Amino acid sequence: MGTPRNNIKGYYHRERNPVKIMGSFALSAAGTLDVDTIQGRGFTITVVPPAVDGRYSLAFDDAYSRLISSKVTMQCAADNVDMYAQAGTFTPGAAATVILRSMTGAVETDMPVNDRMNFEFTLYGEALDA
Amino acid sequence: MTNPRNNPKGFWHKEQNLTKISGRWDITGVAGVVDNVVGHGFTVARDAANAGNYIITFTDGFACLLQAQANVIADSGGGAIDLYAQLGAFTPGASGACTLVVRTKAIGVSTDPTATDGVCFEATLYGEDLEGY
Repeated sequence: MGTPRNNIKGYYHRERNPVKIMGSFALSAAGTLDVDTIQGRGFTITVVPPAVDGRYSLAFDDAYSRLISSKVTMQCAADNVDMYAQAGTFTPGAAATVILRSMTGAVETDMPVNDRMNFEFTLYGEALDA
Repeated sequence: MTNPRNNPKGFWHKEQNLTKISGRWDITGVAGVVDNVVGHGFTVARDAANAGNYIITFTDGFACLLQAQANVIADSGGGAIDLYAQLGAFTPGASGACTLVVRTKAIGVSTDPTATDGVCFEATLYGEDLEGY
């Protein structure tokens, strides 16, 4: 053991200026977003209509040039729901978007009503200042 | 490119007063028996009545779960483990009464990881509102 560094409390990492966008959302009815229970800031969620169940488009409020990482997890009230979350295509730019999916096996499937999808994205945005 | 902003090194986000609790546990002996817990700010135990259901109890009080992530660490099986993590109920509350359920599921059935496998999680929570508890 050496001398304590007296680091401030918090995370240390190797990046400069990445942005965390995180949140969660649910459906109030099949294919209908529950806008009253969306958690998080910096994005809007839409259900991709109308023929594709279980696919959601997340549009970021700000511009992002690159996706460093994405994490998505389903949150289900019942203990017998075979469903997991999956991230799809990220589109960089001033109108950056990413696709989210709720999946059963290899099939996109609507989330049960009131169950939630949780997500956390880490993005680079600084390069788009211009 | 414009002038750099000279932001300090670190993440920037749009929220205030968030708390990150992250951790991991292993199953080293009997299936369902938690061991090698890593991380601060929580305790974890298998729900005695429900296989594959792990109850995380947060040390502090939290009012709301912004989001959480969970993954299975499949050390065994050589790539043939059919198991994924799913979140269950979040219960807000004061210190020691705030919980989050993490499930490990094989298709639709909650199933304990086998020995040498594990679970990791990261939860982002609002705590500031609980000052008045």
